[in-house]
Parts: sequence; C-alpha cells; structure tokens
Amino acid sequence: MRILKVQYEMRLAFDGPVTDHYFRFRCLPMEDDAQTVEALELHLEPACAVRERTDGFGSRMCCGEILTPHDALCVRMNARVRVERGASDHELRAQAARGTGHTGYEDANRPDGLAAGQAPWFLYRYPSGLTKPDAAMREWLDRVRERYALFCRAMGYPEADRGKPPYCGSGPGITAEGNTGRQEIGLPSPDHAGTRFPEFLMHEVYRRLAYAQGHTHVGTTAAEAFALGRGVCQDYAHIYVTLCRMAGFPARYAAGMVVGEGATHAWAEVWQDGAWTAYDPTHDCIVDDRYVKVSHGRDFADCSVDRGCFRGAAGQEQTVYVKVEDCAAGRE
Amino acid sequence: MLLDLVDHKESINRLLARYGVKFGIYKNHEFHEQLFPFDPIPRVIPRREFDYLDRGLSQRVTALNCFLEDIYSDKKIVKDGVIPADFIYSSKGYLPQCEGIRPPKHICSHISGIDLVQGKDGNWYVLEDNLRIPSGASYPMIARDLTRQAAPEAFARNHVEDNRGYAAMLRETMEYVSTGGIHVVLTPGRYNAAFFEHSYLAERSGSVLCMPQDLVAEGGKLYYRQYEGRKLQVGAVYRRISDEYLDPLTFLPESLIGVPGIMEVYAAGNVAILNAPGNGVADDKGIYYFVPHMIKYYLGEEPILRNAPTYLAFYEKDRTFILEHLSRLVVKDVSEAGGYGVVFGSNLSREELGALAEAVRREPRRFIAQEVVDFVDLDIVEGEARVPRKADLRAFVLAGETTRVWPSGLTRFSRNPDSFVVNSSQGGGFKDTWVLSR
Repeated sequence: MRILKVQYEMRLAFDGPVTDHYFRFRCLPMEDDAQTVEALELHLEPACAVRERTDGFGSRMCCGEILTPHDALCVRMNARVRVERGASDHELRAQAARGTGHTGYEDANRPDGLAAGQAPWFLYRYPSGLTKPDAAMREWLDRVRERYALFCRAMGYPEADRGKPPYCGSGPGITAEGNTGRQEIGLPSPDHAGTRFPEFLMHEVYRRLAYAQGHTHVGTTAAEAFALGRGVCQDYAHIYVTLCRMAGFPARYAAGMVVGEGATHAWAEVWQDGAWTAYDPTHDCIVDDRYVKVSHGRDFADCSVDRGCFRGAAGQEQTVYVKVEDCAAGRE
Repeated sequence: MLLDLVDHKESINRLLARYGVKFGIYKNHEFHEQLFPFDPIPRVIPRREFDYLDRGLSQRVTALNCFLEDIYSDKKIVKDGVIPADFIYSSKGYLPQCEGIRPPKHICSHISGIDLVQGKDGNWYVLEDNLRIPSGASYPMIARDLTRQAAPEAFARNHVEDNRGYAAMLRETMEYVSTGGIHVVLTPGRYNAAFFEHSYLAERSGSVLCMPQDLVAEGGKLYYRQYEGRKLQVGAVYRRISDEYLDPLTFLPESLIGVPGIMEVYAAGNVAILNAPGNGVADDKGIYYFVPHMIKYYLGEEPILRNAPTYLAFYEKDRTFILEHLSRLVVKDVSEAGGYGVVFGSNLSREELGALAEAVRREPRRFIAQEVVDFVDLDIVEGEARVPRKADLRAFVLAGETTRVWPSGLTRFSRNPDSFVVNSSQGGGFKDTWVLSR
C-alpha cells in the first residue's frame, strides 16, 4: 500500500482569443478496488464550473465550457491517493480460480462479470480504431507463441494446449479483423501456463521496441508503431493491447501517472481469471502501487486526458506537467 | 374507384416536385437530388389486417426498447445467454459511450421504421427494423394531402384512416419524453438526403427546424439560440444526424455537423434525444435474428409477427445449411444498409457463389442468409398500362406514453420488374398506404 501525492497541471495556450470552448478532462484518479482518493482539488483558470460524470468506460470525466473569449486555459489537479494493488494479484486470483474451477470464460456466449452501465470486458476483445493488427503483427505473434511453448517446456509447465484457444468460447471467428487469426492460435489453457502468457508477451514487446520520442504522434496506430519499431508509452500500450486481443486475451488501454516527474503515462490491463491485471510494457513490469490510473478504454482515443473543441482560427499549444510523490517514501 | 387517382398521377408528381419532395443520393461521391416517383394506386390494408399488424409491431418495438435499455444498463439478456455477447459487442452500432445513460422515460426507440413484406401466402414478414433515423413518413403524408385535393371523391367513397395524424403522434411522443422546453428537429442541412422530410415534419409537428450551430450546450443544459441572441431551453431533440456525427466531444472529433456537449446534457437527463444514440446495436441484421427471442425473453409472449426464415452463419449448423443452399438464399452483409450488401444466390455464377461461400466461411459473424420470400406484387401505373412490381411496407411505430402504429406507412416499390430491392436509395418509387377505417 502506498499513499501517493499527485500533481497534474495542463496548460492550453492559444495564439489568439477563442470562444465556444468545450472541454472534457479525464485526469482525476479513478476510484476502484485498488485506488482510494483521499483528497482532491481541481482548479481552472479562467475559473468556470465543472461537472463531473462517469463515462461509458468507467472513467471520471470533467465537463465544462467557456463560451466567452479567452486565450489560455489552465487545469491544476492535486490529489492524495491510497493505492493498494499488489503486484501479484493475478497469481492469487489464478489460484482461487483453480480452486473453484471457475475461469470467467466458461462460455463466451454467456460471459460473467458484465458490468452494469459500463463497457464490459467483452468489448475489449475486439480491435479498435488505433489497435487494428496487420499481417506483420500476426506473424510476429506466431513467433512469440513458439518461443512461449519452448519456455513452458523449459519451465516444466504443462504442454501448450493446441486445441481451442482459451477465451474464444464456442463460436467461430468473429470480427472483420484479427479474430480469424485467433482461431489457429493454440494458447495454453488459462489456468496454469496461460496466466503467464500476457507477462511473457509483455517482455517480448519490451524487447521488440525502442523507446523514442518524436517518431509517433497521438494518432499513430499500433500497426504503424510496430512497423517503426519504436515509440512512446502510448504506442507500447497500443501494440501490447492489440497483440493480447489477437491472442484471445481481452485487453484495454489504461492512462494515468506513475511516481516521478514529467508527463502522463499509459499502460495496459488484461482480463484474466475474472479480473483485470495491469502490465506496463514500456517499463517491462507488472503495474504496482506506484501507478495512479485516471482512465481506461479501447485505446488512446477513449482516454485522452483533454478532449475539446473551440471556435477561433487560433493554433494551440498544450503543456503538461505531472508529479507523483510517494508520501511514505520519506518516512521509510 | 381508383380511376380518378390514376388520372392524377402526372399532376400529383408535378406538385410533389414543386413542393421539393426529393430524395438525395450520393453516387460516386457526388450529391444528386432526384424525385421520389409517386404511384397513385395506393396499397390498401383492410382494418382487420391492420389491427393484426398493429399488435405485432407494437409488441416488437416494445421488446426492442426493453433490449436497448437492458444492453446499456444491466445486460441481462447477454448474461442469461439468450444472445451471444459477440453479436452485441462486435456490432458497429453498439456505442460504449452510451453505457449507463438512462434516456428520459426509458425510451430508446421513439420512432421506429419496421420494414415488412406480405408473402404470396398472405403472411406478413418483418424484413428489417430501423431504429436509428428511419425516414419516409413525410412522403405518404404529403402525397395524401395532394391526392385529397386532386381527387376528393376517392376519399368520400372509401373509408380511409386519415394519415395526417402522424404529426400529432410525433408531437405527443416528443412531449412525453421532453425534459422541459421547446422541441426541435435537428437537421444537418439541405444536402441531407431527407432534408425535405426534416423541414416538413418540423413544420407539421410544431417543432423548430434547426441546424447544429443553432444549438448550444451550456451549464449542463441545451439551448436554442434565436437569431437575436435569446436562448430558449430545449427539452426534446428529434435529431436527423447520425450518432457518430452528433457530438464531436463524444464521437467523431472531426464532425462539423454536431452539437458539442449535447451528449453530456443528455447523459445528465436534461434533454431527450429522439432516437437515442446507440440504437444501432438493435437494428443490426445479425440482431434481427434474435428479435423473436427478445419478445419471449422480455415480454413472456409469443411473437405475433414472423421474421423471414433466417440463418445465422455464426452458428455452425446454420452455416452448413447456408453453404449447402447458397444458390437459393439471399445473403446479407450485416454491416451494410440501404439495400447495399444484399446478394441473391440465384443471380450468381458458379465462381461468384464460390467466392461468397469463402467469405461466409472466413467471417461468419458478418453474414446472415434468408429464404427468398416470394412477396406480393402491387400494380403500378406505367404509361397507359398497369404492371405488377415488388413492394414492401415501412410501418412507423411511435413509442411515447403508449406504443402506437401509424395507420398508414410508406409503401416502396421497385421500378425494375426483376428486382426485389425496393430501397429509395436504389431508385425505387413510393405509394400511399391506405388503412381502411372499417
């Protein structure tokens, strides 16, 4: 468990005055099993009323508008968040699931755990605008699978089950992209070795890519970034999410902050054994209590920290500053 | 009795052209406006038959409304295994952004256009549900108006339900779901295929016709900006802009015809949007297969109306059947609309059938196949002669305090004698639909 102090500042500067400016921020720490928000302050400049609601994905969204002319907008958020995630949650859940013989995937036509009034895990099986796989990604995933089979053998895990992929249920391939590929993917059954596949895949993605800024942009797709072989956290997350889905694991994009100073961060969550486990392919680690999540969705487009529109011919420049401190760190 | 009507074919079509009763279509990325040819011989539906349709259609739309509410909230029908989750969550019409939104009075499909045909066996079959922005009600309304003027005797001799009540039904529906304020019909503008209808329905229902820039969201409410700058709160928006363009902050960010912030106002329960965004999940051609199941599931009733016999390539048993009988079936791509992506096996060469079979095998979720319903021909006037043509019926069902069927409808016919496809975007014509009052 950690208590994190989160500071977030976003500044939009326009070249000239703009009007009818509508904005949606997704920068507030989510409240869930792992995160408790103990204190929260939000300031806008120019001051204006902000209405909060939960979007269809379950993220907190701040809505507001400034209709009168202005040439800058600054958002400052300060929060204290208690995080209790536990790095090996998925191991525990996997054990529990083995005990009950329940995997959460018994029958894909009759899925468990569909949240009311929220996009359910089932949605995250399909490609989205920024997470459509291409042939190169498919081929690469095949090679990862081969390496994974060798790994399982070497570690003495049960031989990969070459039959039905774990999370496809009884139906045949489904969407326009990617799912027919999944038909042939013979992943191990989900209880033992299967739970390790997302982790194995994360290591592979980390090794396959080079972290480099300036080569990709917010609209770069997973396939484009994969072809480039480099990118930033957003690209790592997109590529990882795409590959997980192709491999039969529902996976979603997550955005937030991590202990340190700089910008926002992105990672991924994989639906395993009836719950989400978070992986950070950029840092090659399982997400722990140093991470604060602010949103999740199919891809970056569902999670943009700031989405807005305005009238005016002005160009805009966005600067973001994030600082997350571990309150307990000083005392240890 | 209908002779006087036939005589007036030319003059009524001339009047329709003058009133601007046109249909816009895009061909090769160019906008073409074309007249929607009117045939003077009405489709006549006897009272008893209409009563049967009324019961069946109301039942169907009630179940579809239950389904839409359920999908964006509890998802019971998926949890109970009645509809495979794949058919919901891989559908283009499912909009996760609408999760958790409770529309005013829990109605999602206020104005439903249900397409039916009458088989030669006398049975009616539902071919398609249109729950997003079904258009076409204005055509029989204005045609009725004009024929009444041209041939009043025809109406004096026949007991026909007045169909001009549609405007009042529409107004009542809007009033019922309104959160307080004026009613508007939101049109993307005059280059929309159905612009005539937008302006006509606004005028008849006493709503304000407005363009996206006339609406402004502020402080969680929606306002109509009058030309002198005064703002009036809006309680109900009959929008004729499709979901993905409705709000650039929620859907396509590049949309220039949307109203920024309208979705937030709607989510907060401060405005009614007719029809609710996200309805596409229920009128997917794949979901169509499950509508009879929905009726049993939500209402505990037997479906009154029949679906055309349909096979879902998703199910292995159905897929085997489809592949074996491909040459006699009509295959539909679930992701297409407006008569596109519909293929009659009987029209295909051996190679084409092979390619279609391959496509079905590769992406079974994408296709449904139906038996070709041999539906009745209706006579149309062509020159001096009367010739039979395939025709369907789009019935309009309005859900407000009660769910009611408009006692009329849009009868569309194919002008091509060999074609079963009657969509107006495919160049068909229309007829008035008379429901006899006794």
